[in-house]
Amino acid sequence: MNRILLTIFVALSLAGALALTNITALADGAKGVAVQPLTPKAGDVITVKGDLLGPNSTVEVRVIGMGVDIDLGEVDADANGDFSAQFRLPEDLKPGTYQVRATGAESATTSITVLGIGGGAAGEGAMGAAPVLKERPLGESLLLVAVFGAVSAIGLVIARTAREKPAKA
Amino acid sequence: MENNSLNRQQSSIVLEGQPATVTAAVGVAAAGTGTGTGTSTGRGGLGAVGAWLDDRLGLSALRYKVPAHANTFWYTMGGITFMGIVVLVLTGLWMGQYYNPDPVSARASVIYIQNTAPLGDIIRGVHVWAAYLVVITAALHLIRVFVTASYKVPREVNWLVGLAMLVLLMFGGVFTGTVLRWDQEAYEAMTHNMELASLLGAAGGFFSAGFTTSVGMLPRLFMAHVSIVPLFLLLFLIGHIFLIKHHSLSPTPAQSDAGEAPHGRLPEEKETGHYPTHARIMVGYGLALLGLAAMMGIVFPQGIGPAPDPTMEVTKPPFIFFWLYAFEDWFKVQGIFYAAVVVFGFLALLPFIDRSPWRALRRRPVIMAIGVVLLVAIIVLSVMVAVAPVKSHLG
Repeated sequence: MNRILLTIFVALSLAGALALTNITALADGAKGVAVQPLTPKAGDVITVKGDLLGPNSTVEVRVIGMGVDIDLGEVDADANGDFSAQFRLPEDLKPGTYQVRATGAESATTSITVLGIGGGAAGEGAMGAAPVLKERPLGESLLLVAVFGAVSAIGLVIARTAREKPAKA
Repeated sequence: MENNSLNRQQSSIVLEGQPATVTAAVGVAAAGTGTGTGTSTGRGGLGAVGAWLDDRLGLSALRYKVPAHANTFWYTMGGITFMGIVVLVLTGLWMGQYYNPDPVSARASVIYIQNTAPLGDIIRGVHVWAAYLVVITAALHLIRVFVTASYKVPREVNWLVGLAMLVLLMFGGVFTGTVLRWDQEAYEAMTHNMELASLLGAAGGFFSAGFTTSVGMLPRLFMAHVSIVPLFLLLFLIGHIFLIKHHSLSPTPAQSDAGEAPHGRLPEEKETGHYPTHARIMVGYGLALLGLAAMMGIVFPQGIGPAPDPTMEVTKPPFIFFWLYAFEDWFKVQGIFYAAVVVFGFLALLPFIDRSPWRALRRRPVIMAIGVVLLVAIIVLSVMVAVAPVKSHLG
């Protein structure tokens, strides 16, 4: 029995190793589209890069979402189906999340978030600078740790003192 | 076997020749007043309010017998995990009142929770640390089941259900929760999500950005985090608990290998523990877990990273994913997928590979060796990633 288990383990290990070897070949072989920056403002220029969307195909790039479907333009892919091009977003694009879809012989989609003036919706600064988080005073932190430490201790006491009554047949 | 007490109660009902529902109520009430047979399944000790509630809710049905070892720490690990999930639901409900899944406002709403919402930073700290602790206790529960071979006949399906819950907690719960923060780490996590989805081909469509153009990934991942994942977790949990009740708690390896538990079940007379004790231990440790999560949240407060820059990859995932991140270092994003498939695939196949009748670890040397290798590998890889600099894998 142990020999059978050992055989299965070796087979699984080999299968795993083969799978891991195989994935190195897949690593750079996926079709896709990428946009920079990810969080543009309306009217900004974005760079759209596509991979493996069909050799020498004409790729149409569209922005879809928030109730609109806008043709940004077309670009010719190279012999690998790759391309990189810049497009300007419409000035009147509303803040929100959009899909950027590139369609040649193949199609790929990614997401962008269009920011409002000031970098976010309602000027809240979303996706903006690093946030300043409230710091708790040391004394308050120690007090809270003590309180929750007591909660933990009570829990442990409850668990450890749970008495088992003798079972009746 | 845990439902034997109920079966016994029903047997006595038949003997008394009265309608089952009526007699059950009488039997319970009699036990409550001390005039009944006084079996361990009664509700002795309940006050008038307790008796009133019991008549209507049947709480005394929970007073069934369990094996004595059910009330030990390791056999309570699943219950502790359950209590942690309860903490996650309660804190999540609270945070859901303040979180805005619109990508434009999401990060600001997390900052609001942290800085402005009442008790926001504490609740968020509890939620995040409880999530990590739940994954850890679920993993410890899995290790206990692995070590005691409790996945064997007739509990193979329940092992799979439990494994599915662990996967759901890790990749459904913690992963999607990471994205909701919508900072640099969140963005990188979401990009990984989309790249992995592309690996799955048609099956990954639901998880990819291209699945729909009507709504972005963040609202969809939020919906998954607060709706899809909890729903499936609940369904699996119901199934898990039902199967535990149906098969009774597994015997110890010593009991099983000594032939004391035919077909993996202890006979009724050897079930000398009680579920209320188990529940009390579970609640106690659950309270301890809550306190620990809160203390961790205060000592190691949850930050919010810088705004995402799609041209950079500068963060590591939460530490529970470190071991997978090592494979990503070696084999790019696909490494995560294949490593997870190999590890969880092996665990899923385990009950069907390890078919010997023995349950003591020393009688299962090959399985023990594989388990030790897996555990050591996960720990070593996690430490390696913890001390290594960030590498870029995307694009």
